[in-house]
Amino acid sequence: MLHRRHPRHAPTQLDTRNIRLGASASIAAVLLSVFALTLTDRGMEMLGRGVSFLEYYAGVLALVSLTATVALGLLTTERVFLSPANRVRAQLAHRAAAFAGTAFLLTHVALMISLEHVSPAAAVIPVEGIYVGFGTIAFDAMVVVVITGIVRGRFAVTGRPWVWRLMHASAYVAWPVSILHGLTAGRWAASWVSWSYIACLAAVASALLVRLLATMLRPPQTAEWVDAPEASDAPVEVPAGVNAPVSLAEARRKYREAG
Amino acid sequence: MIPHSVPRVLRLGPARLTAGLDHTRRLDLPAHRTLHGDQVPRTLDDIIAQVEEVDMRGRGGAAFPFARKLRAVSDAAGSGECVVLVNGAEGEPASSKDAMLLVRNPHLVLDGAVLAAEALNAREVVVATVAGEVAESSITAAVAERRAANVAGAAESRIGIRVVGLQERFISGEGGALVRAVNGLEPVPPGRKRRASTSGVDGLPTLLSNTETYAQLAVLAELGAEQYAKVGTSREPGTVLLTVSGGAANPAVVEAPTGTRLIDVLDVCESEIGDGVLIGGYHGAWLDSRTAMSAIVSREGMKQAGGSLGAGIVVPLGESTCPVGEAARVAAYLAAQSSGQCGPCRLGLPDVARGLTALADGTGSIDAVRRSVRAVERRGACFHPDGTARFVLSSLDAFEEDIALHLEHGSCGRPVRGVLPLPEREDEPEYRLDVDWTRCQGHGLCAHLLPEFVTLDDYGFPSFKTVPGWMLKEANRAVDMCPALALRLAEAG
Repeated sequence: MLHRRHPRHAPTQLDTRNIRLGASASIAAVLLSVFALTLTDRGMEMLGRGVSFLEYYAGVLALVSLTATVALGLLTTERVFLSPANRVRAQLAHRAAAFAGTAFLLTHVALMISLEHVSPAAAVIPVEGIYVGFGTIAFDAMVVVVITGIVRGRFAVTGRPWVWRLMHASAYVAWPVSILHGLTAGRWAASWVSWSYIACLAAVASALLVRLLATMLRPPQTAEWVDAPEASDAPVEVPAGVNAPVSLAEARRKYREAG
Repeated sequence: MIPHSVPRVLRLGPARLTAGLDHTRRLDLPAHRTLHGDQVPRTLDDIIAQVEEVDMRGRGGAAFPFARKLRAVSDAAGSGECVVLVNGAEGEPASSKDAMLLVRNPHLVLDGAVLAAEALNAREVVVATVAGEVAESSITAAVAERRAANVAGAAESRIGIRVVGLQERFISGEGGALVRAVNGLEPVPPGRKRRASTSGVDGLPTLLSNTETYAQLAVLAELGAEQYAKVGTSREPGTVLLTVSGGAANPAVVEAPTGTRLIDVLDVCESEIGDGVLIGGYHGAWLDSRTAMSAIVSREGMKQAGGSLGAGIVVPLGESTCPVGEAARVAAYLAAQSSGQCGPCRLGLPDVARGLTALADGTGSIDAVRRSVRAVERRGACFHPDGTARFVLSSLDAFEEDIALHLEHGSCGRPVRGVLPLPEREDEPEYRLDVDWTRCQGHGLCAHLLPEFVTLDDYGFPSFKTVPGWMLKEANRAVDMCPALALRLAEAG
């Protein structure tokens, strides 16, 4: 029997408490060590190296995790290969990847502005040329996507769930634009990087195409005809009475009559 | 203010606290002054001498000598400030003497409190009572009447009187919890006992006592010790207020001189003893019918009979109800009233109640109940676990034969009538999962997330059970994760 003192979490394997605890602990550890590093000269030097690493790679990391997010998001709708349990896991992974990607993206934007590579306005409006502008557009769309992702449950109450789908689907715009931004703004990408992005784009595009086609070509969902008796002109033939007892009382009566 | 309906009052012997209540629902200030005369301020030594002469005790249940309390507050205050606090939040479902006094005779209580406050040179009088009840509006109106009389030229005391409304719970009447509530903290008993007389309201020395104590003090000041002691026994002179409810056909607050036979009190309320009489409220003990016949209403008399007078609660059970079931109902109520601060009380009392319920079903065992009682006794910050343990153990002893019947036949044949008064239970919120069938595609994620509350039919579509409040988080996750956005959560009911 389910009881409030022993809630059953085990079967769903969804007790994410350990993960949450671990994440909070590591974030706290990172913040504390950053604080500790600021106390010494050597630490400041290391911190400077860390910042320049993030300056170069936060954007790349954001792009990689957001690519994973898009792929996982597409995967969560998959019904053919994934069991419900794995679909739940895919949703959780989608959220975790989205969280990491958003964190890297915010780091990237904050660093680019604070190191004065771009003006603060470039975070919202594309004012810094077309290549950085791609990033701005992608960031704006991402904000919409993140917000809709957080308040998803609210849309179940309203009458228009397609509004949510439409808004959340702006991820499919933000992501390719951000890849364009990654390949064009900043330093030249190595050719294998470009190729792998193109492969990702192609894979996701084809999966999306399959999903769209499957939705559009889905046969109309109607109840089937049951083969009921056909009408006919055959003459009436009443069968002789039932020999087996129909009810218990009938059976008793027959038994009594038979002695 | 004239209340619409008031607790009934009966009496044996002379009318003191209930004087004048036969003809009116509530005594307002002019009526009260006509009946009891103007108030004369006394010195503290004068009051203490009088109180000591009649050995007055606190009437809230603990029977602490009132003179010692007065002296302790005066010593702790020195030349500084102190506060007089009136406990009018009894919390006991079976008691209505506080409500009766505050609704029908508020000025007598205020007279006593003001008398003590002036003698102690107190900063203010605080009356703590249950918020939203008639008692609160009555005492607020009484304070306003006094202020209005002063404006009109009467010589009422000008000491400040503050009325504080509290949420009623069983433990809110406990002294420490009351002081915390008045101070604006959560009304739960404090972990470490602090005497209110050294540190109470706002950390000041506080004279804390029950409404009846203050009313008795006012009567004592009016009559003088000699006249006051004319009724009652020589060791505990005066009258007491008893609340008779439960199986009584004529439930009432009864004023009786000490030394009255309990059976007379029960008779005047037209009640039969039946299987027993509960004395001292839900932390008290049962007297069987033979003891109850000969028991005397006084602290000493009740002690001899095997109970304790406490706050003067008398609950005859009658014969038509199943005593074990009644005791189990009360135990369940008491368990739910735990403030949840102390582990043994929070976890142990529900087990005790479960044990008693099992006995009533004929499945449990007396030993199991005794074991679970032992796990809670004397293991809490306040008296709640001990008092509940006393009630349960006393029930086990008093209803031994009935329990044997239950264990043998599963029941004693009598239904549980709910004779022992309990407040209505608040329903916990429950939730219903609603599905928009036009959106649902039978993905089945909800069944995976809430296996206990969602089952899938042969076609893979869900059917739902009501979700209890403590599963709300999980249910919300299912709503969030529904791929078709088809689920939503609504309050059941």
